Amino acid sequence: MKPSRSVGAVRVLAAVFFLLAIVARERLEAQLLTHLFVQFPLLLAAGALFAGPRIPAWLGPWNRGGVGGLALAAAILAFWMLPRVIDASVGDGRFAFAKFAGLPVAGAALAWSLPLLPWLARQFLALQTMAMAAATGWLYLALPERLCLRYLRSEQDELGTALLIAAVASLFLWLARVLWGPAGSPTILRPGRPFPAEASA
Amino acid sequence: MSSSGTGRTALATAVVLLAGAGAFLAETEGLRAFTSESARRLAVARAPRPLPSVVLRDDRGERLRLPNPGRPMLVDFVYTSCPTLCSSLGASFARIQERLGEAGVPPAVQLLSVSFDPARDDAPALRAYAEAHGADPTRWRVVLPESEADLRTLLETFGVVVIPDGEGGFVHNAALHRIDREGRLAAIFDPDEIERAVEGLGG
Repeated sequence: MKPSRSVGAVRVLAAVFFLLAIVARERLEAQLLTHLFVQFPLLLAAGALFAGPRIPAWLGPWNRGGVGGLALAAAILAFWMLPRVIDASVGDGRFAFAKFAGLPVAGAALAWSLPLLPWLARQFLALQTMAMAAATGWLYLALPERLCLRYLRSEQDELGTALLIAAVASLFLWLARVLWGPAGSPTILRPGRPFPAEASA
Repeated sequence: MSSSGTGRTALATAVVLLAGAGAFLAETEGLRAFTSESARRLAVARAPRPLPSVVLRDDRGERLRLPNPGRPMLVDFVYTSCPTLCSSLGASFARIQERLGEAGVPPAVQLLSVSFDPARDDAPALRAYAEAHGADPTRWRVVLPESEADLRTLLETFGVVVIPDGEGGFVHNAALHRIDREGRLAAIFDPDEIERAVEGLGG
């Protein structure tokens, strides 16, 4: 059957991402930028792809409107933004395990929750994430302190610059979609998906 | 949709947020330590760490042993070809040495600069560093751990992380480590916190 075959292919891709994050671990973790901008996204994407867009029926009632899943993802991601936790995941096996288990779970939680969010909430979340990325990037550049013992001050600058670039680039993409998005995609001028409450009412 | 779904979602969200907040608070020591360096300082202040038993050798080949109970000390970690950080650590030790003299503290080796660069820091290199900073050997010794294993356990106990800077040197924690009378690592200070670091060394 076609659908199940494509699900299988996506799961293989998820497994490839996951294994890549682990096998190339030393190389990815050698630099702060590849640690956070390559390994972290690989693990998140692995979880999201493996989970697929549809939440299992038994879990649905625990995640109405995507609120539970978003809370879980936010809790995991907040933990992994701590410099000392990033340091520890390089040297300490328990933290490394927590990373390889936790980030895919966060990815899955996002995949199962973001589509359930009301359109407005998703746009708010997207803009909020960009604003936070920009603020964090600026902070990394402005702080005289070296935050991670395992990484150089110059790598902190690289990460800060990358965060700023990512924030500005995503903002332009977001604006382009809002202004010139293809018909059928939700834009500000054409409110799309109704709130789940309205849809099910 | 059933209202029970709302209840279960609220429950799941509350559990997740509580667990997340708990993990976050635990890992930041109650929002006080976001970096490994601040966490290490808090941990040491809360629970002083007994030093491992190691042998150090200074530029004249004289051996010193740690721990050395009964004698409070300050320890820093350096490599003598360091162009920046270790010079500021050296300057701090020079000022502390001066302070001890002015306060009339009887001469005893209370300042230890431990090199973590056995490949380059041979006896002449240690001596050059000591002389450059005016180290008085009755108070301050520049030493190298006698074995690689001693160096490793020492760095591990102190929580000092040394990484290559990509230009042939190293980047490392810049701090003054106070060893208390019981031979335990009891406090960690910034290189410019001379007043606090020198407290407890006298007498």
